[in-house]
Amino acid sequence: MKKTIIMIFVVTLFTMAFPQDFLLKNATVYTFDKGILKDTDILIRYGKISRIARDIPSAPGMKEIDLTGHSVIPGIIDSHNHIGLAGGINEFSENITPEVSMANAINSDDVAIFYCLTGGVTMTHTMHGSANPIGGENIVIKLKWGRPAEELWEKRATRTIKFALGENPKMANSPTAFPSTRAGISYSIQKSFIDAKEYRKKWNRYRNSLRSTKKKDRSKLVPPGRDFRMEALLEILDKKMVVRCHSYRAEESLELIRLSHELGFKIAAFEHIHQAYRIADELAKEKIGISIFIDSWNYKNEAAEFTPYGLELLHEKGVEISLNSDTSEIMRRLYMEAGKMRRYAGMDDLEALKTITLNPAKMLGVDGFTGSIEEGKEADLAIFDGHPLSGMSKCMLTMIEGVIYYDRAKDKFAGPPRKEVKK
Amino acid sequence: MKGRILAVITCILLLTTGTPAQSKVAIKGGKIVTVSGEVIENGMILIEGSMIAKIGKDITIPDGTKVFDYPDKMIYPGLISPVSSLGLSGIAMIRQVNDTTEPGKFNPEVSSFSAFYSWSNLIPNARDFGITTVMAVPSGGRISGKGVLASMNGWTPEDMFIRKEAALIVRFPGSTRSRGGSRDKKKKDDSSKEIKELREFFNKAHKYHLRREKYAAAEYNGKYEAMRAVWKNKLPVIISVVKSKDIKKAIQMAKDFSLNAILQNIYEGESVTKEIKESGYPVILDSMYQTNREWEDGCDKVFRLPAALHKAGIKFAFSQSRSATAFDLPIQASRAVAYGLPRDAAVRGLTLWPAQILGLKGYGALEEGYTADIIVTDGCILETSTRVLALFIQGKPVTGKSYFTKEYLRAKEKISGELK
Repeated sequence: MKKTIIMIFVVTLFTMAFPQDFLLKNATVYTFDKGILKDTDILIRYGKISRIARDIPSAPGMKEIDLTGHSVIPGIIDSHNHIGLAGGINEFSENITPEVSMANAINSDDVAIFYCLTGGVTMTHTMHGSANPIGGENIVIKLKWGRPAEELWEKRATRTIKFALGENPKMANSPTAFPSTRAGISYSIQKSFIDAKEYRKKWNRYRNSLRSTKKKDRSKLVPPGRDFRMEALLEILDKKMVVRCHSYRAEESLELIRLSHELGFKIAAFEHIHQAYRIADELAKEKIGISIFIDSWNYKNEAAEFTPYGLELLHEKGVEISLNSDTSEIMRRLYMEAGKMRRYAGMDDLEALKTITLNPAKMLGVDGFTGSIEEGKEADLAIFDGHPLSGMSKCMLTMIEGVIYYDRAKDKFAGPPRKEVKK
Repeated sequence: MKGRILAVITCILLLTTGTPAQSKVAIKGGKIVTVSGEVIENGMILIEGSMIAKIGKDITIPDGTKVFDYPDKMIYPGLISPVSSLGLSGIAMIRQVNDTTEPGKFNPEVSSFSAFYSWSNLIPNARDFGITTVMAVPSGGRISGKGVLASMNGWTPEDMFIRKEAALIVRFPGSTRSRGGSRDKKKKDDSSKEIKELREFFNKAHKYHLRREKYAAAEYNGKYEAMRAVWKNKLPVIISVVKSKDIKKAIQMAKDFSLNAILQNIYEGESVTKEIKESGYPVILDSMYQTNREWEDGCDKVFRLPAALHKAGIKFAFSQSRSATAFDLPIQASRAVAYGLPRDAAVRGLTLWPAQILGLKGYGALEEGYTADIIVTDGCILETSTRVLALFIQGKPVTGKSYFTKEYLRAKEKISGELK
């Protein structure tokens, strides 16, 4: 009797720890290393892609899904948005706020997470806003709808910090506050890092004097006060965090590149950057990626000079391109936006698909375990009922680490039906 | 002497034929989507002047015809954007370049043609993606003003106008939009008061109209005078309305005042298709890029609507009102196909149906006697990969480069200033 109880306990533990195994049958599978595979099966075990081949035999305990006429793509990664946050996207109170982190504001109940899932999105780069020249730390979350906040945060990702240039940080202040010009923004950034370097010197001096002072006299030395803002800035200089910078115009972006050389920080990508096509050579040389809207423009002054055909120049020069929603309704149609890459940049299907999967994964340092369909990677997948880059298809099923978080057949509604709250 | 006689003869000939011989253009294509009829494989369209003279498989090309050959390409009628702000608004955030919205509730006297900016950068941009006709409409208030139907080719505004006053725009009072399902009980729905006000305005305008019909000397009123076209010329009245109960009220009002109504937006139309069908009013849909307003709506409510209307036999057109991304219209329509709308119905909703809804005869299809607004594409117009390769408006090939193309070429060659 005891034995059976223990057995049941062990089995329950095992099934709790590992998700259901799946066998996806007869799908069109979009892989980047082996191309587009027709009539192919995917075996998912322990939440990972275990095998990709034709005619994989079924085994007991495995859930089979027939995907004839469907395509399977890697889970889509939205490389810039602000979902899953409990308000407070911008720390408006000051200009330079690298000490704040979005990790402290995760809201796993945000219905936007569900909307993302309905468009095949499995991961988002949830960012600080653009009110500050140097904003807060961003986070990467996996969209495990219904799971507690701490399970969403993907800590394996590269740490990123939000910078912002141009109209937004200019206008976030009252017109009389500093900075109100692009020059002022540049100076704010420069000054912050110079301050941080001074802060480090102060601590180094203190540590050196500790070493050169006899043990009994050490307590007389006064340590400098700790400053979390300065420490965050030093993490950027030490490349523990990379910069993701909101910018629109070409000249402000070049200016930040100049500052990055002068001060020693790494720019991973420019966000939005409508004028990237003007500095394709410079971006390629610096190996800086871009995270953009495909053809949304002209909504404000700095977004009024733009051409989506510029993507062809950027692609030719080898600039890494990823697409983002910035939290608008775009997040559930990123696959259509990627489809337009073929029209504007002359990409083929796989290159276009990379702009919403592998490219953002690389930029966020998560390509080791997600961002493509490969054996050994986590089963973060989106299943479409047709061509995955066409507006005439829709997402039917979204899976993260082998767990289904959206199933169109079951999830008719945007969320649980609302109940009237009694007072 | 002989020369003089010849000259006289030619002059007489010219006078008798009215105008110089009309320019003849022929367009050959791999697949001609006529919209109103069958798809023609390897067919040809013969254009005389601004009209389609012949369309079919075996057409003899008259001498002196300029032939454009697009083997393996697809040919469609130009797309029609029935509710747009093209020509009226520039950069969205900047008030100085927006001429869509007047303050005040009832502005029937405001006509958008008088502010139409034919030199807007955004016009050739939209055209490059196949949009050949738009209705530019005002917004704001209850009665926003009148929209103008314009062709996307021309120099001055006057060149572009097809119909200067093409529809009256009414925004029907409704229970306030609620996004994300918040239902504030304290905020009482006061739409009935507003509806009463709107009906009263229509009532007074109608009485004014009758009075003026009878007595030419009756006292003049600018606002009511502007409303007369509604009864006098059966001017279409586009009524924008969201909720199902409001849709019913809007239909009732349109019936009471015997309006030539078009329902617009009808976000909650799915549940009142029966009433809409019975009313006989067609529909202009709002953008397919909308978020949900209520939890219970289901995450795909807005995409399901076109298929539901089609099933109920209600004629509809797609629309996309933003000027900068006006070109996205066919891609938006493609979304309805994912949720059950047949492809050919989606194409109709971009061409023939908006033309019919707006009472624009001879537009929106490739047929003999129709206006030769024609686009050439390298694939299905609903596909995200498709490029528009060439277009003809009123029979003439459009050669002007769009801002997007110019900007691309400038960046490619790194030319500061204008291109050679």
